[in-house]
Amino acid sequence: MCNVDVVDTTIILKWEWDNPCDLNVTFSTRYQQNQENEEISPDTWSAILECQDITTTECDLSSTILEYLENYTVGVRADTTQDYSPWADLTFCPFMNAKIGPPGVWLDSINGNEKIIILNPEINKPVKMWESENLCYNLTIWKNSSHPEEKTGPVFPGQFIHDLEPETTYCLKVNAFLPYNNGLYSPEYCKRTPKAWTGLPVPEHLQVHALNMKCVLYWDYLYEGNVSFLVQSLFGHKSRSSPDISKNWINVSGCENVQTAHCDISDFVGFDGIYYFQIQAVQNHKKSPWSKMQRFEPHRDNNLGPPSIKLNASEDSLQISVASPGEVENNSMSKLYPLTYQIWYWPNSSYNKKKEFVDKTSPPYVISGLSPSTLYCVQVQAFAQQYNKSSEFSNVSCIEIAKGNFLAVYIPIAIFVAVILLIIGFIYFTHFICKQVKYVFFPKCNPPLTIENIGGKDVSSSYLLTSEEPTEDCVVIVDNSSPNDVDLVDVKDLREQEEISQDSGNYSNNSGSKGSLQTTEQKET
Amino acid sequence: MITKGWLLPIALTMVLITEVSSQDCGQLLARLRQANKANLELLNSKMNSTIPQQCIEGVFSFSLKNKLPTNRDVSEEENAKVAIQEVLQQTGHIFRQNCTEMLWDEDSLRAFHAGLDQQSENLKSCLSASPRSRRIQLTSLRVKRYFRSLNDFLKEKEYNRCAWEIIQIQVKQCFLWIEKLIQEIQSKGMDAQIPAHI
Repeated sequence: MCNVDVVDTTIILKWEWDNPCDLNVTFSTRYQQNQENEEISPDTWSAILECQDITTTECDLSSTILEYLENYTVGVRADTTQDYSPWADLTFCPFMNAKIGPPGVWLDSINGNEKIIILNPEINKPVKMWESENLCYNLTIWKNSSHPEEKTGPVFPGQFIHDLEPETTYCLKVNAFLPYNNGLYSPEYCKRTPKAWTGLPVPEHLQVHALNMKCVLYWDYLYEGNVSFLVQSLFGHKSRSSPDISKNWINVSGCENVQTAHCDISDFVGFDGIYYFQIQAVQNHKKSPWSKMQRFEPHRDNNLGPPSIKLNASEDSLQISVASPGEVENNSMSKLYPLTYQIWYWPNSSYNKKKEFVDKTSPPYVISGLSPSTLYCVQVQAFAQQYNKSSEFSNVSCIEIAKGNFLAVYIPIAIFVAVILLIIGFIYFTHFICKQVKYVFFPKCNPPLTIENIGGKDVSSSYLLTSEEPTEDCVVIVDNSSPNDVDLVDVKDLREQEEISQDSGNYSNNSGSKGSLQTTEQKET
Repeated sequence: MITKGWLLPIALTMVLITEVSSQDCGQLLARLRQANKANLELLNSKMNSTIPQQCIEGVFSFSLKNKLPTNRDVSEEENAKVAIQEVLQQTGHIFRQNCTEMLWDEDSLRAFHAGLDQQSENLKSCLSASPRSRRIQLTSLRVKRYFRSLNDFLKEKEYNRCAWEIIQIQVKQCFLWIEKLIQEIQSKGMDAQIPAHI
């Protein structure tokens, strides 16, 4: 039964031997480096020279195992003068098994601040396990009282610890950690804090307001007097790799001697990265302690101002041109955030804002199917989906869908209807004329024969005229004025009538003779 | 009461430097992809379009003992995130080495570091807090080994210009790999909406 204990680059193999038979044994050890997923090879064992024929139950492998990211198999065997035990083997990866050693820690009082000094566990060591890692540190601090209550949180080496009571004894310990590796705690360190600070008070409540990447750092300072402020910044990447961040603070240009309780840091910060800020008040040669540090992550903490919009109405639709937040000030946020726009539009008469989402693709955005002669109002909001960040609303902008549009839509319909009506009218008129002509020249209807000589007068002469001119007066007038015409028609009519009667007479005669023939035939049969 | 209220301010101090995990992790990969593109662009702009004459031999003779994990090794999302975070953190470390011969201006180098740090921190805050599986540990280890060989190479070449040329080519490959990983996770995410198919 063996196990390996790794702290930083110190690798100790330990095994248990309860010596049941009270034998006089020594131990031998061996090792091999394994490739990933490779079986233990029986031929590539090397002896661990420092640990041959030893009587202790542990072996320091630190000078043997140097590739900390590789896998090793180590074995141990008990030897007597006559015999030896089988090998007990163990495979491990030093890095994955390693604990981080205890860091060194203490507090330094500097001008009213308590700075925590944390020494890297591997400082001054010739070989390092954590060389390419950014070690994180956890601080545990408590008041040295009868009822200590611990508080724990992450801390950077060289950071100031705030809000400690004066003339009070605090104890603290620190450990380093990584995602796979726990760290051992430093020895406890206790310190009595100095007397209360009586110099310039500390600036408080730092906060960054960022709108369209115009970033202004604000702070509170209640002390009355001719005070100026010094703003310093620390880059996030430095804070996580530095052995002492107090050396990495740099003055923010333009904010080195400000009289106001705010300062524009826009020129200092870029869009990428994480920043920390701290402030010190200065009066003549007196300096306040440094404030608490304030974190600022531009791409997350920046706010988007309103987009601006321009409207154009055409036909039944609205065209919306959108300028992204900051674009008007030549500082377009669409260069930094992939933006989409949400458009709200509503007819001015109603209070229902009909929400419409429009994708980012190719502005201007068009809303169609709108009622003409109506005033429409539009409001736009930009949205950066990747950051789940919405801009302020644009101003409400209204535009009327013009009447021209109304005419443009309805005149063609009116013309169409008119044309249809005209065509129908024309067809009806033509039909009427034809009917008249036909009636006049080719009348279909004749008066029945039985009324041809009503009242001893030739009725047929006035029959058509009567139908044409229903009044009796007309009959009289026509009768007298154009007797020839009437006679002509009359004659023709009569002749036709005669022919018809003759025809029918013949026909009936024929049929009559036929019928008689049939009867005779019947009689014959 | 002497102790009144002293713990709260300390707790607040701690909170101030705690990475606030209010990040929208659902959109993390989209942001990461955009940032990775920016990293690539910056790297490309700083790299020579052609390999300097004196370095050609070195480029051909350069070989790495370790390789990046294959995409198949990091097919799970959490695994891929861990791999990406490790690449970003290790790249940051390698670019903190003696880089006077690398010929980057200070502002570009700072911007590069700022981006890497931010992406790495954002990723960390979105990683699962539960203990990591053996498989994920192995992924992380493979990336570390890969960068260890890069570091060893730089050291061996005493951080000369040609060594830096080769390192930059390798780091570029890593960023292209990240792009592929994110692409794969994102397309898989879309597949997940559809019933699984084999």
